[in-house]
Amino acid sequence: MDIQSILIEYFSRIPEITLLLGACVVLMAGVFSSAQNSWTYLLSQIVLLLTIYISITSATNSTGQYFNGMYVIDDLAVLTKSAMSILMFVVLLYSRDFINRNNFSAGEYYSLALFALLGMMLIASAGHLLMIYLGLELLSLSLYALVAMNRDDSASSEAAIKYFVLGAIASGFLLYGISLMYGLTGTLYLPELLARINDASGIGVIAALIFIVIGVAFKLGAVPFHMWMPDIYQGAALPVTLLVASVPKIAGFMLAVRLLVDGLQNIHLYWQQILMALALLSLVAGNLIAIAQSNLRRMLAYSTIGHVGYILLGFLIGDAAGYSAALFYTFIYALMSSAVFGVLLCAARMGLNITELSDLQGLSKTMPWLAFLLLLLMFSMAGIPMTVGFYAKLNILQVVVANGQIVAAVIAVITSVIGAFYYLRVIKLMYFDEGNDQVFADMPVVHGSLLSVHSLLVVVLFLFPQYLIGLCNSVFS
Amino acid sequence: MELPLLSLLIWMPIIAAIMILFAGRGAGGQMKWFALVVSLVELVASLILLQRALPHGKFQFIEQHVWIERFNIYYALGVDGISITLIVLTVFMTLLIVITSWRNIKKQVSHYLAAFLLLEGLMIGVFCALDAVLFYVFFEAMLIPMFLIIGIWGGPRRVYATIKFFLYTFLGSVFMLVALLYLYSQTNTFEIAAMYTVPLALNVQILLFLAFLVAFAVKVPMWPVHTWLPDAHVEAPTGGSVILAAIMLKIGGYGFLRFNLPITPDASRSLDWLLIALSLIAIVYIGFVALAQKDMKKLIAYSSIAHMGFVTMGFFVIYQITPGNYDFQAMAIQGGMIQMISHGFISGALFLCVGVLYDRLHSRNIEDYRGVVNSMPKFAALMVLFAMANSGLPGTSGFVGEFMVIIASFDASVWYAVFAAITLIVGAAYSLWLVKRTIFGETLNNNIATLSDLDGREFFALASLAVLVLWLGIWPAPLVEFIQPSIENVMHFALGTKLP
Repeated sequence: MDIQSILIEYFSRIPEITLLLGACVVLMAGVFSSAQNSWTYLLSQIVLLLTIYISITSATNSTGQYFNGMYVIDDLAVLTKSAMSILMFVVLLYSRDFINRNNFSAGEYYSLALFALLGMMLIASAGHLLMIYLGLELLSLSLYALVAMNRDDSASSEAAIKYFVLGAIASGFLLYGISLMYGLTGTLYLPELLARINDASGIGVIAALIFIVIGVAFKLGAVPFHMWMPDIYQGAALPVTLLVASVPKIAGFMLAVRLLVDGLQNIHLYWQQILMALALLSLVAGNLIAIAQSNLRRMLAYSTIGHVGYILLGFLIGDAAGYSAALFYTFIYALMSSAVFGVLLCAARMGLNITELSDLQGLSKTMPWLAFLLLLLMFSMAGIPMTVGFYAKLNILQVVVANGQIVAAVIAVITSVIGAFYYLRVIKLMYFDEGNDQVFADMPVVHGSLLSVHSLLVVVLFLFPQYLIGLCNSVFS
Repeated sequence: MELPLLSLLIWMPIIAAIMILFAGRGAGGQMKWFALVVSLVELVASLILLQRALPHGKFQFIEQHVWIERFNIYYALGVDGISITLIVLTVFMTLLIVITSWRNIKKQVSHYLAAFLLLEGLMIGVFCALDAVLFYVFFEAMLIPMFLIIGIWGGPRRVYATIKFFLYTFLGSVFMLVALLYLYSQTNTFEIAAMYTVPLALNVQILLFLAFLVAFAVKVPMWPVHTWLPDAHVEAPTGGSVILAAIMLKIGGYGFLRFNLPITPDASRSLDWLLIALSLIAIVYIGFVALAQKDMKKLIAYSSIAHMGFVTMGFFVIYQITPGNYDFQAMAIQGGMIQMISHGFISGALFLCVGVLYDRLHSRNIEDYRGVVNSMPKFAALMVLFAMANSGLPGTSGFVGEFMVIIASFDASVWYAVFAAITLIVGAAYSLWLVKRTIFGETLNNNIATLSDLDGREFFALASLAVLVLWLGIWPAPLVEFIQPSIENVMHFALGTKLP
């Protein structure tokens, strides 16, 4: 086989190669174009479309191991990578106008977003612990820079510093755990790790496991490793928050799957116990603290922590049904969360900057359609039927109950009642309170229509959930 | 192919509601007519259902489609005599709401009607669902339109009332969800009928029973989880109060018949004392509470709680009736069921009456009214009739159900009957005292003297309810016979045992 055909083969099978080259091109294009130039945006979207295409088509003929098993394409990787790149496409589309109007350096924003996506996709396809670590660092460093981009804003800088320090500590934990694992087993390949670690009776394995779980918990934002999240959500610029709040959640899920399931499934009885504590703490603390927030974005951050609790509940069962329920929840969460920030960006574009909860007052009069979309999303986040958020919770609860963890299920449902309160408060502010009769600009066409489709998906997926549930199920069986 | 009548009943109002929402605010006038037509078609469809129903206790008009294969969740619909009756009640009350809201709602009337149509479809869904998840979906989704109805069109403390309403009911129902998931783990299906036959140990049954109890006791509502109801009623607009009292409370009673009694019969038997005690407290204590109210809507709300006490009393007293005394047991459940229908008419009518007064003088305080009869004779006649029915006057529907429950509970214990019968006195006291203070006496002031009597729409709504109240009171036999086979079917499971 000549070099040309090998190259073509790699290009057509591994979306990361295209993405990497594209990100570099966008980076260069950003240097040579002015901030408001839309070239970088168009280039990034084209790169993303290509990535989406290659990710989806790689399902049919490309599954297998590459680069000596460092890199794996399996059904799960294909599904999550496609979802991540599609979501990133939507995120960039929502962000574009904000970037242009606020004099962000567009080239840097888009290229950092693409590099972050590259990191996430590498995590999803990792077959080797170092690969996971590299992907995670690429993701984290891009996100640190993105959060810090709004450098004249003190809240933004504070958020970036906190994120950087805590993120570095978390990476340190993870790396330390990985190095202990290597010392114990002599391998960094996940399949070999799986074969060699069968019990956790030794103190070394326990210690390594705890470090790894803490690292994962940091990245997911589970209590008590959640402190960075509210600051990022509040301090970062809106498009950055949108990015942080959506795509990396799927990457966090994949990080947990690759490390805990692919590598350490045989000692799941041990990590289960840690995850149980983390899950219940996140559910209770996330939902309770969210009530006390007056800032919408901080409230959403704590609500995310509550949702992470649900996702972890799916993990702690330790079987395929649990993982697929957690994956479904993650997808739905990423869908809802990106739509909520999409609504905020759309409102910003129409002339209303929503930061405090009180900014929502009377929104049903001034922006009826946006308010309606946000209403649907809030009901969905609360898990009320006729929205897909209900299935997400139902799936998790079903596996939890089926495994006899009734107490965990009861705690989970009680916290979701607590959670319902602050979601309802958002609806109350929009629909029951009177605001001032400002007049805002019309809804932007492209952003608005995509956002409508995106948000209405929570109802459509409720009525026809079969396909997505089936997908999440098939990748784990 | 047969027409999917139940799906039609459920989805037609929901789709109509969505269409109204999208039609925008400008088209308020046409939308009112559209809502009226939809609710009339619903009425016709429900009457066809009633007429085509076969006289056996099994589920009929069954529709079944796979919804989520992975969890064996089906879109499964079917009705028996109990659900058909409640569906007709729902459809009829919604029609009355559409008619009476015509002029009286000033703010976004088309959205108001859309919310009620949405609610109608969801409530019918609750009565039709044969799959536990489907039931839960409708049961929960129902909260959304009601939440908005109270929150948007309600009174001054509407936000407090509506959030309290939502959280109370949501908290109750999540426990039911866990119970349903547990049953799924035992049966591997969400089909409610399959849950009737799965054997369950007593301690498991008791936990399941309590989970269902929390869900439905909040809905009924039973003492001590009733406190959301007076708040919700007082703050809700008239239509919201009517639907809440006439149908939503019945969903609690319906839940007891569909879930508690057949799925956990042994737990029901061993916890019957608890339910009977709570029912008697509701009947007696809440009756006295009603006596002390100064706000008309609050008074009727408390009287609703007391009357719903008879429903739960009737359902659970069957375990204390001499075993083998089948007729009395059937009569107790019958009584509870008839009380639900009758209370739907009477409380709905009373809330409409308060709405009529409120629209004219914007006050619900009893002391702001006196001598209304002088300016509103037609209204006064109807309101007195409904108050009499509320206090259980023989010849009105209020009498039939209470009488049957009291007779049946005599067999269980004389004391039950005595305590329950106190309501006939207390009920008469608060109902008649309400009438005496508002309707009769000297005209209080000039505002009252210049009140205009019922207009055509209001008269039609109240008069048609009056006819039904009298019809059910004088000749309840058709209803009794219609639901008898279904009740016997429930009793077959409720009186059986599921211990392994």
